[in-house]
Amino acid sequence: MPGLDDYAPAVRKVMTLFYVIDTSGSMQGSKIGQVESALEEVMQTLQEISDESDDAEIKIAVLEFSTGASWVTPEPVSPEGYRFKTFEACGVTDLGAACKELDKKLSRNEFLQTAAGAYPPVILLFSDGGPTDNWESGLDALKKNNWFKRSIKIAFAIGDDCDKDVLARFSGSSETVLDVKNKDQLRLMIEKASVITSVFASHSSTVDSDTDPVEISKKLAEDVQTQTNDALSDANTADWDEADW
Amino acid sequence: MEKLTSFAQTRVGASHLSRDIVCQDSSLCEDHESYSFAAAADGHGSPCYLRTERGSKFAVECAAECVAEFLDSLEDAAEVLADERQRQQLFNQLWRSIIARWHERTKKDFAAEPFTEEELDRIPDKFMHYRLKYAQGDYISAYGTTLLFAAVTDDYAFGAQIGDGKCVVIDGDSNVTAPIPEDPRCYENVTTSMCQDDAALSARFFYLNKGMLPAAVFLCTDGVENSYWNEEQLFGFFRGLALTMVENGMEEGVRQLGEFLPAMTKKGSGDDVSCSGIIAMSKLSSCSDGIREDLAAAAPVVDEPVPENIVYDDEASQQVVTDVMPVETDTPVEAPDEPESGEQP
Repeated sequence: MPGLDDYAPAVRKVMTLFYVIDTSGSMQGSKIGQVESALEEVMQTLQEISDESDDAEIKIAVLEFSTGASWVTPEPVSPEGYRFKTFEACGVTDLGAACKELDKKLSRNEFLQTAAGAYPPVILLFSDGGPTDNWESGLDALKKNNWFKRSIKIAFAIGDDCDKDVLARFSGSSETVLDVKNKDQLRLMIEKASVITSVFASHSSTVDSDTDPVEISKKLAEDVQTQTNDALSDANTADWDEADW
Repeated sequence: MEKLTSFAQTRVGASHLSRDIVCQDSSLCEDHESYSFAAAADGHGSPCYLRTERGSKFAVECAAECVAEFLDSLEDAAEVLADERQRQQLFNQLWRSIIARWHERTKKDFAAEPFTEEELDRIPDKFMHYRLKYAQGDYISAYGTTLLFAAVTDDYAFGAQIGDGKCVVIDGDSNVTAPIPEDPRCYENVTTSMCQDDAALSARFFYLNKGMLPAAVFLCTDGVENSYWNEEQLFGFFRGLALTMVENGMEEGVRQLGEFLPAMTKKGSGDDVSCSGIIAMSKLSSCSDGIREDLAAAAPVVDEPVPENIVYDDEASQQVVTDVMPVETDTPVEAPDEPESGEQP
């Protein structure tokens, strides 16, 4: 005979997926264009993942940084509630300002304020350069934030001029920094990373393990790399320039 | 005459267990010859409210006593209550009597057992003004609590609520509704309370006449409500509870509820959880096909293991609405924010 365990709906928390996007002048052109279109394309898939998950509702928060940092989403929104944004790529690369903003909002009193509670978030960082502000103090403060410590973090080093050591300091390991060589890889990686990390982080049975979040991030980054490579090898890439931006 | 059966279950919240805090919820049920009664109350969680577990217990007990006296004193009750103007007056009287009785109980309790230094020391420094208030004999906030109750007779059903939590009714056609209106003053972790000055004016009521008698009335504190992410999901839980009671019998259904609540708080709100109610079993059985269909039409249920090692903090503990309003005082209401880095996900 079915009982309450069979009948009662599972409870759902919120898992917030943070996109931290470098919109400095060097991102101008196809780099930022690919980020814009990939974000737009992946939202429907994320909404489907959210709708199908009994454990967590997925929300999106987008932070852009160039000369300073500002939230594209004043508060986390559902994927279907994300409004397409045309980024204006200009200015410098104030990663420290982005870290401070992130630290401020990674709190139950801010972006992680939900009645049923929040799962540790996912943070995806995209950058093509090196920081131009006092990033170390911002990052040091952010690293003390327990939500940040518990989060899944993957950084994307776009192009050859990116300071990958800095991104590794942010994401916790060089293995959680993925190289992005061209615009097609960038679009695919955004999509794969969004989906793979969201599926993982929005299930209670996986997020509450004792495993080090950096180790989990490494495994997920590897999956993102593999699936991106598979997708690229399945496609006809003969005409693609290795460094086509 | 429809047989009515009441039930009440309370379990300590996962966050309270991990921080060794007493359960501040209370619930109570009574089956009498002419009516059944159920109540639930949620003592406020913020550490400045020192005796809310007593406050919530007094609240459900006072409601039970006053409802019994109210029903005893009513002649031609169905007729009188059918008149909206008279009903409103009578419900207001009933509510005032509950508030007055609760104040008597808290007064007696405080007189018999004034705050000890140890109790006062438990108040964090940033709530220093509470210590001063309590030291001056202004004790009532220490007992702050919400209250929901319902009573069902053969001819009518009614109930009332102050603060957050939810009353959910399943009617004879398997429709599920929340008959008590929301109070806009209850938001996030802020709630109206029995302890506030205008408590006598802050109740919301529901009344159902003989033609609309419920198959089930459920009451829950916000620990249950907040474990679900919207009202429809919460309704799904009560549909599931109703079916469990129909298919497994009342006793087994209540037992399963008692086993389910700890998992709910652990995976959901982390807060204390209370669920009470009144079941008209033959009526509920008659509409169980409709309940089953509605439940099946909702999102599929997946059996997920309960997560371990969730850590909670006091950041989101419940506060009374009048306590979060600006106050004129020389003492800072709150110390500057502590660094967010102190939070535990």
